[in-house]
Amino acid sequence: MIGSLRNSEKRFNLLITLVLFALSIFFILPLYWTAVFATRTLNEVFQFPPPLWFGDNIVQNYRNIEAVFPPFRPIINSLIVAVPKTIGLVLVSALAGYGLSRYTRAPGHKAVLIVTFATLFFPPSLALIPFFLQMNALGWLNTYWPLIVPALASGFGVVWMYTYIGSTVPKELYEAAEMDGAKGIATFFFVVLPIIRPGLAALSVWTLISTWNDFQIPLVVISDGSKFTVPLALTTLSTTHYSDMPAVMLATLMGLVPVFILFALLSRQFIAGLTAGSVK
Amino acid sequence: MKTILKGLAALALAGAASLPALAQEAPDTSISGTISVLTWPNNDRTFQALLPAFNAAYPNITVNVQGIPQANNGYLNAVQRAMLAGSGTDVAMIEIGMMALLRDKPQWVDLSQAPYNAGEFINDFAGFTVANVTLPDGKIAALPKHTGPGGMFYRSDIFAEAGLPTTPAEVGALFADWDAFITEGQKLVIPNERWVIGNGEEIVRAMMAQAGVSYFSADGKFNIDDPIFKTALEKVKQAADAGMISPFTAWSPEWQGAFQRGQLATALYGNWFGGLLKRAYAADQSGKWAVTQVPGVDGKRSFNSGGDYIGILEGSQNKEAAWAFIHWVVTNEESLKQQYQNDDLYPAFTPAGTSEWINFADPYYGGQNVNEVFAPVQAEMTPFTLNALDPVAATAMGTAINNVARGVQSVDEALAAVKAEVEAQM
Amino acid sequence: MALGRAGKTLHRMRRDNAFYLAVAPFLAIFLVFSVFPVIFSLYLGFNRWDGFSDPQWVGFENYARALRDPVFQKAIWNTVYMWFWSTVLTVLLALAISVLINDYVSFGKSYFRMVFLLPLLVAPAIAAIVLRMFFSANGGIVNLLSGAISGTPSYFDWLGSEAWIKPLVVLLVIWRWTGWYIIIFMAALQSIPRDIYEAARMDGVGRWAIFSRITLPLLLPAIAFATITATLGGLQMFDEPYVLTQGLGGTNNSATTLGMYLFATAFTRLNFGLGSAVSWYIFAAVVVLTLVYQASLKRLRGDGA
Repeated sequence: MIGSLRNSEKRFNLLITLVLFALSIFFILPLYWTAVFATRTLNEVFQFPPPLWFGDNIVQNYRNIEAVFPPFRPIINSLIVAVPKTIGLVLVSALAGYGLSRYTRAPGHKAVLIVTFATLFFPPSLALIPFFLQMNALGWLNTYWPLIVPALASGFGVVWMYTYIGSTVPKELYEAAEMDGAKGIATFFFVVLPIIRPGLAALSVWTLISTWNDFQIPLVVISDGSKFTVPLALTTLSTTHYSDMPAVMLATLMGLVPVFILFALLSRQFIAGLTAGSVK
Repeated sequence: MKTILKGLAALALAGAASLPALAQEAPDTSISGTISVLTWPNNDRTFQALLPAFNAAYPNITVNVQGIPQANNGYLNAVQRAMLAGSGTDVAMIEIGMMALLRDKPQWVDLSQAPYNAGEFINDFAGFTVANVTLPDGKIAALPKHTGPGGMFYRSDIFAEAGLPTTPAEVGALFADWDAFITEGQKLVIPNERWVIGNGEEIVRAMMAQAGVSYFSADGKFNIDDPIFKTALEKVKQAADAGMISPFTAWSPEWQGAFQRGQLATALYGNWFGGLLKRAYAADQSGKWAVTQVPGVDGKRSFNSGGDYIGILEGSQNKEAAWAFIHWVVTNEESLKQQYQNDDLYPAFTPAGTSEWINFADPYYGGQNVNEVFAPVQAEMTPFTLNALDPVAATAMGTAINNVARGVQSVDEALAAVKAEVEAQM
Repeated sequence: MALGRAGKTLHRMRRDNAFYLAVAPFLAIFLVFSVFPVIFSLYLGFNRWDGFSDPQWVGFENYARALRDPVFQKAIWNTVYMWFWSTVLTVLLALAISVLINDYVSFGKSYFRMVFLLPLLVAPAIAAIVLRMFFSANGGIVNLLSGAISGTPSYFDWLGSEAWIKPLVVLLVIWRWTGWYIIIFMAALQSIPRDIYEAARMDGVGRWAIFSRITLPLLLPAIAFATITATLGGLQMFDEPYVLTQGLGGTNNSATTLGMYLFATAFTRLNFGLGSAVSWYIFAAVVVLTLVYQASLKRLRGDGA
């Protein structure tokens, strides 16, 4: 009886897998079409219905990008911003999240929690002008500092880590660590950090993606074309009234490659977290 | 023998260089320094291409061109940033849509003062552009660079197919006023396959300019009760009922594609639209397009759509060099010629209107010299009154136009909505 | 020893000194870089400022002006509608998919983990271009399909329809953001120890019961986080409606959100005072909703225990 149960389970699982696969096709579509358009000419892109298969114009599109900016430069610029920021943000957030989730009785805990939450509620775009004035006063305009340092204090990151650590790390672990003589911060680095890798990976993914796509803040801060990150550089491929769509698509694809690589690296952390999840 | 040839060559070159009748100075080495110029694509690339010619006149000025795209108010933000920072940018371009918001800010250098004395030659520019840069107290905030004299671009082959005349003169005569536009234009419509214009906004913009009505009068009063708005919206409704207006949003990819597929028979825009057709929307339709005047209101057929200006920021450390640059850019023949040939930008500097590079038989338009349409439009344009709330009014009016075209609101309802929306912000 | 309240507090602070060390980096950076903009924005809400001239004090006029503006009133309704549906559908879909991937899928888990995130990687403008290709009035894929099925060509203007543009924006949001919530739920699912499942299976507990009695309650914090995050994003929604309507907000402002209204006010019309006031309205809405969530969560937890 267990055998047949297993079989029907397996069949059910297979069905689910196929259904999910069909669904996932819809999610691949933007990327697929970006790739198709990246190989087409401007004329072909405007056809109705649009082309469904790849064309042969990719070399010319690459040359069109080259005519405006060195194609790999914005990618490097984006990496210069995204990598330090992700590492820093995740660390700062995990640390603060740990403090908030463990020491719920410390004086001032509630105040910090409320302030952290409050930072989430404020629409970011409005702070743009005062932010600009601040960066101007610091002499940080046209550098990458404004894109990295202020972002390290992410209310979102702290709340996520607070939620995740709170629901993943059992109190008994802290007690055990204390008995072994580990102090607060040391506990964080040696005991907590290894266990919360899926949470760290998730936050890293989010930070990476949002930094990569960030348009408004870099636009306000960076005036030198050679320092443009990917989204800004993409817009220089367009003039006021028309965009060189195939070139934009190709540049987008190129800009995605580093994200994919980093993503693949982070994905391994998810699997690693699986085995580490078996906490007594 | 060689030296004689070289000498002849040098003479010939010198002769050629001194031919143009417009402002052409001998190299001025006295002004030096580095300036930073803020503009948007494709101007940035055009400016870059102009630098050799500029440096031939001013060898000691180094120009750094910054191109910030206009999308998402990016360029407006960049100008604002430059103005707030108080340094770092010497020269900035201003697009006509931003003019109302920016021109009365103190960060623009008053060009009517010495040593610029722009007032001495400002009247060499198209009249309505002078009104745009001159503030009530006489301050000149920027120099006019380009305008957008409006015309009706049309597909002569589609007109022929529909049994309509095809030469610019005939079409211009047939479409003399807006009623004729509706009656005759209907013949071009194939339901769900071909429309006459992309958006009702083209009609309203033209009619407002022709009637000489701005959104706000000089004393700040909202002019929505002027009869032209009601008339214009009624024309939009008639056009929509006749199936003449396409469902596509202007500037969207579908709208651009519609030109490619020959689904739009006409387009009512400034002359720069031709550049878009040639380079992007209809690059393979050479010979099929022509230009004539748009239908008129009470005989007035001129309207302007587009244009830009260029000014010096107060925080500039090298205003002398900045002035040399902007003055050269807006009056120098080579500069105006390249900007026209690269981007179809129509000079606001009137003496340029007689040049040969602007009056020629354009093969794209079947050999038509389209300047015969545009030059009179430029000359007859009525100046607009600019107001900081123009963007609010324009947005509200855009909504109203679409609502009327789609039958969502009646003309009176739409006008009332515009009034409510703008007055809430006044 | 007679320790006063102050003495007790000091003692606690010393005992829990790790707390202050832990939150110090975050708080320090926050204080330096985020406090000024927030306070400045509060100040701006009571002023009229175009970014250059001196601010003019106008009291509550900006707040009143916003309420009078018919477009603002519309934006409130649009935002609520799109926030509600996008939050509910995205979170539910992500929950379903992540549980399925985690527990049921037989192969290709790494593929599934990544694929749903793909739409988020592309800039919103590009995702919108793809969606427009589907729903364009003339030659759009949906119209072509429905025309092929019904026999008569279809030219329905989805994007220009007042009724359909909001669902389309919701579709775009679901499309883009489901992947991110899947990541959140998968991270949470992965922290649930496997032994609990093994034990339940051994006891013969059915799959649905495992899900509803074990998985779901353990996922509650993650679901709460996802819902709050989705609400924050939903109430401030800007990217998706903006790119889908070319910045115009749809026919008759049927898709204009508070976020779009804010952007237009502050950055197109350089009216920062009014923009600040609108952002504080958004803030208020978010606070109210979060308090509602907190209360519901307490009640859920109370019942569940």
